[in-house]
Amino acid sequence: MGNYSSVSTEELVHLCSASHSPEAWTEFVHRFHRLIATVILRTAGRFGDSSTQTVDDLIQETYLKLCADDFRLLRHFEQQHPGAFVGYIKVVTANVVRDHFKASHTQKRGSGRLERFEDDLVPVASEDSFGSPRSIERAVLIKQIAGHLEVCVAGPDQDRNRRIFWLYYRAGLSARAIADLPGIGLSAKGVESIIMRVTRELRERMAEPSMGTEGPIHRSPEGFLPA
Amino acid sequence: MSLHLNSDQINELLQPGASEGPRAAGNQGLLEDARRHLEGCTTCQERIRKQEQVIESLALLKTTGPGAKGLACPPDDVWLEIAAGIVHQDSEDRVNHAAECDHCGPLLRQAKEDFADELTPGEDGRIATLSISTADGQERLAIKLQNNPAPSPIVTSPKGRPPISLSSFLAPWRLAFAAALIALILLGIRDYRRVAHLSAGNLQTAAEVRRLEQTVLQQNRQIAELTSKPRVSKIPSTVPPPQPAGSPQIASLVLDSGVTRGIGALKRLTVPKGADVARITLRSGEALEGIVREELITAEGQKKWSQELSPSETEKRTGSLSLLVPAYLLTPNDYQIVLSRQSSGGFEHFATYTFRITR
Repeated sequence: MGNYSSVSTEELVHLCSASHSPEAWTEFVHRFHRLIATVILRTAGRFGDSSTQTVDDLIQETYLKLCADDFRLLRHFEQQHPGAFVGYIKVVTANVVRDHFKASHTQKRGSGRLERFEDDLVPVASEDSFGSPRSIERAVLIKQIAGHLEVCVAGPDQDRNRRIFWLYYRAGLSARAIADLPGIGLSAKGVESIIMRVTRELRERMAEPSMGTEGPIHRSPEGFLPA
Repeated sequence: MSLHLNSDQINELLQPGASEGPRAAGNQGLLEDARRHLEGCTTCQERIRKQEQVIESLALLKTTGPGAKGLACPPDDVWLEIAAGIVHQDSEDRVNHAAECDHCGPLLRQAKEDFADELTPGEDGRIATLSISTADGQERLAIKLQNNPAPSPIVTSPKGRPPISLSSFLAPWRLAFAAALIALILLGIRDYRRVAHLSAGNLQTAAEVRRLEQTVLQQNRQIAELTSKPRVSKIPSTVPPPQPAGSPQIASLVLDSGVTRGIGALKRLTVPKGADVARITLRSGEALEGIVREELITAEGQKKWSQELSPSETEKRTGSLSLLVPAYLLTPNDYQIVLSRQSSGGFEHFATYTFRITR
């Protein structure tokens, strides 16, 4: 009976799939239970059912998935970098939840129940739907800001900095989440700093039309216009 | 002192919590001066107001939820992998797309939120109440996982589940279901008898298929010889020897290296009936120099096929290898192609490709 708490993740995964050791599996469950439960709790919440019963069932479904076909998912895993297995488990877990809710949704739709619409029903479009005044206004704003960004953000990292700006303001990602993405190469603090600098440039340009988007531009070495 | 506030002063005044924190404490005097000036200067008030309007408009940029999917949008599960830190060659381009896409951007945000490491106190509390969160629950689960590769779910508290009574057991829908099941079994028995009659015919067809497979193998060798002189293919001895035949039909698949993709992202190659050869293009991020060994391995770890080759000039330039594998070897299953390059200490693995064969 070995002590598995000091075993590397890669080795533990191998032990679980190859040796069928109960101690290895106890360590596996101990190490990854919290991670799996968290992902299930959040993903199931998006589908509108994160009850304790559902989460418990989905946790077991996730383990079933890992064990299916004689631990195929574990056997085929290849550690490409430290922490890769954590990412792998997250994706497997999220897919289990999505498949579960897709299947239950399909079952509901195919249950033979018919939903009848009234003849005079006029579906109400949401405020954000395509073609609504708000979405048109937003499209104009995006275009306007994109034009100013072309001027505000310059230098060797202009593509990255523009990407950071849109990920933050348009997609709504946090600075920390952006910092983790491929191709960013900055810490969360670094991302925050870029956002602050670009926002300030943009704010001043948009508030003072005299600065415009034309005319000679004096770029600072960091790639931003002098304030 | 200048006539109006400069941009640094306006910037300071617009910072959230401008009058709080250690930074504000250092600038307290300057901020006070700026505020006093602002009270009496309509020009600076107007400048501040306009900049505040811009800040408000930036808040309108954020999408509330995923919009309509566009033609350029990748499959939705891509965002799970990127959020989980599973990176592929095209991940950076994908992030670039998400930054300006109202469908993919919110999906990436959701995936990042779902995969975030920090737990809220509420989540912490919820997880603590789960039956598998107890040491006992985890031990029971571990025993089941170790004993049985496909364990049955652990029986948890029946709270919230209605008990099954005799009347519900004999409910009409249950009886109807049972009757339908019996009818299906009877139909199955009848079909089985019919299939038995047909199996003799199948044996004859199988012999024909075997002959065609041998033909394909011969063609594969001819193609390999034509496309790359130094290639040497090895097929396990269980495979029958080849015979010549007409022009081959080819099924194609392009693969990127890496095996840590999600379940849904596994690339599939459907080998149509009559296909003789599968052309598999392997895109590699690595320089393709020297002798490269390609091995086709099944999900069960069985080596089905291998060859060693010197990549052609085109392959070196494009960083892609093109393999021609006899189609009959690719029975429906999950496969890996493992690439190794020759080094002083033998062959060194440098890329793996995972895919699924369907018929």
